[in-house]
Amino acid sequence: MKDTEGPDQKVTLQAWLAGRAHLVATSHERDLDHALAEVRRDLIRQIEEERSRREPRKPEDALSHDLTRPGIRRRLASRPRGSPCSAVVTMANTADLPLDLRDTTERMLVGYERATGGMVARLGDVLAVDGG
Amino acid sequence: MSGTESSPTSTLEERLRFGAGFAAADRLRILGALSALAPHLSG
Repeated sequence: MKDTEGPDQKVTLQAWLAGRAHLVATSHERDLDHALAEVRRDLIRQIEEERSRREPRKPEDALSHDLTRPGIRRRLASRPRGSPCSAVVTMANTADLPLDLRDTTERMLVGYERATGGMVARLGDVLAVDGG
Repeated sequence: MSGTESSPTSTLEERLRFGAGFAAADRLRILGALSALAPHLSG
């Protein structure tokens, strides 16, 4: 934290991840809690972006691979051989999130399902993509 | 409970280093605020 109480107070959060880039998130929020929340969100976004770049997945195992990590993902499912059909599958793994975040996320997912009439796959669900 | 299990949160606690501008008293508050980072760092 630099220039504490000064006009240019800045909170910086840096992460060195094995085999990955050095990630830096900064916030000029005056309130420390808000600044910490901002740098946390930004660093999580950077980590996920970096992970996506480093771990391109094969279409055939994308579903099982994605659900091993917390988060919500939408992905075009691999198309069954010989079928013109494909599907966008929304997946969520909230198991490893902190309890308060997990509850909030679950409520959001239920709201999304009600609003769209769709379904969000949860960790442990067995999915089948039918080529029709 | 042995207390030796390494959860993502305890890993964050072990690895987090504080730079200038933070007091020792801020440690718990900051760890709490950053706890949501832990699962992303352990993957």
